[in-house]
Amino acid sequence: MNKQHSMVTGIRVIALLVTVAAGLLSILATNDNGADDNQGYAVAFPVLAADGVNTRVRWSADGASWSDGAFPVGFGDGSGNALAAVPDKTLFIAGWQTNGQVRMQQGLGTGNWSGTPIAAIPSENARSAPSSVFMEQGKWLVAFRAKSDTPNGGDRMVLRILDTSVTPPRYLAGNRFGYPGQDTDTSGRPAVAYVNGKVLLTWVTTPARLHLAVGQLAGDNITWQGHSLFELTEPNCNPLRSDPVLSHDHSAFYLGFLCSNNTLPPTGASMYIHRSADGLNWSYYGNWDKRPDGIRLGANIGIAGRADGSLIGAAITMAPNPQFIVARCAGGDACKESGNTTWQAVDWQAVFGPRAPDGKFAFIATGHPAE
Amino acid sequence: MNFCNNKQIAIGLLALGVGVLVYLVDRPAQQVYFISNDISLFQSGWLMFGALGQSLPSFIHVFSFSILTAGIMNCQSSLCSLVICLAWAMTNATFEIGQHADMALMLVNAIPAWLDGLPVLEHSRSFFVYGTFDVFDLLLGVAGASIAYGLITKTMRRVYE
Repeated sequence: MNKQHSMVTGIRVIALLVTVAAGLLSILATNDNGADDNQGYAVAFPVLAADGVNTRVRWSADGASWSDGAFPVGFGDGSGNALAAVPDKTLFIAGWQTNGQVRMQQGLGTGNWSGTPIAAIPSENARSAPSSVFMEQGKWLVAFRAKSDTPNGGDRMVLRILDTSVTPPRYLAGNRFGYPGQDTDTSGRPAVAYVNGKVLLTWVTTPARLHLAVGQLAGDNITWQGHSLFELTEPNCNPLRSDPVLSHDHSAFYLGFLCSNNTLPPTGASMYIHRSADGLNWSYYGNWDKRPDGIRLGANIGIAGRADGSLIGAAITMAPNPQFIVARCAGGDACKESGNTTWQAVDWQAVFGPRAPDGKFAFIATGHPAE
Repeated sequence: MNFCNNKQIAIGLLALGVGVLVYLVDRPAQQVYFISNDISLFQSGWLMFGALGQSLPSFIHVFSFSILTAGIMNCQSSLCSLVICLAWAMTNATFEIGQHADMALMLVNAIPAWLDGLPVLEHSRSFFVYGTFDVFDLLLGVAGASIAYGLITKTMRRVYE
């Protein structure tokens, strides 16, 4: 009798556990399956509105047709934006700089943003728009240019880790980036990238030279492995004419920048792409067509890589008839040969909506490695 | 000898079947995690449950799992029934409130990455991001718990029987 009772109790407990598990999991399993999470590309940019400068975020599944991301009104300034997302596109973060303060704001997808920016602010006064990228476990990298601590020094690069896995979100201490001779005249906006624990930070100094720093995430800190001047070895690339941009396809990093080209008129420029599997050793990847009519110098450019190796480059052409232009390649050799990638003008309003940006934009691709 | 309340379990399973039918027939496969295109009976332009199908699952979920749990536990008192119904109503409410934008941001940030590789649980982040908070769903959950409570107390074998 006791044995039978124990068996019945055991069966009942198992049945109860199965029922409770089924009840809990069925709540998740019967809800929207995320079919909307097709926000594979996104742009963030400042627009001048009646009440000041506002940040706007828009998204696209394929990079061709775009929809509004419903960023709340009242946040942003004219210096540009950071934009980043987690691989499954559920969380986005957009940033800007206002009166020397870097502000970041989170969104559920691009369509449902928090009503207020994250309260945490980096202790350094920013002198550029931020650049941002998702790392892992609710942590994001935020890079920007700040005044050097050294009296009469120039600007330096700052890289901070924003931890949103805690409530309230906070910046982790001790991750200010320093390197020998840092007080040089840095300019523009830095770019940051992250793949599998490897951190890349790139920026320019005056006169135009491109810097690259490589680090490894170690706990809540970044162990820097080196900082170097990036040698511009491309033929006819002189001088560097844009802030650098970074992207990745989950296995390799891509570095993009504009160069004037002595085969082009003074307003002309080409976008050069370099590729690196480890962030330390780089190889020339491609020169994405020449624009005799000129890419708008001083404006931002963008590159966005996907796990299938495909790349989209984006830039803005010269006034008086500025155009948003993109070049696409499918990956592998198709991206290497300059003849395979040709700039195409994309309807400005289709990408940015009724209010076009004044040359500043952040352009990202997102997705899992399997996508 | 009855170790479970078979009547309650039968009612619970029947209600659960109706709930599954809502998803099979009235929802496109791409909107429901556990329904693939192969088994979906959804036909564009025709809804078996009409407008009711939008909210029925919230009611059915709390109702059916309350009765199923009570049946398995063979509840023999009103207190036992009440605790079970309240627990499922609160579970439903917790997930619903979690879909509110402010809560969802906090929850999605806290969901650990290792869930991504687990069936069903990999959907946790999407659930909170793309789900929509609806007060009506909360009320229907409470209604489901209330009716389940009435039915459980009516069909249970009391201790003194």
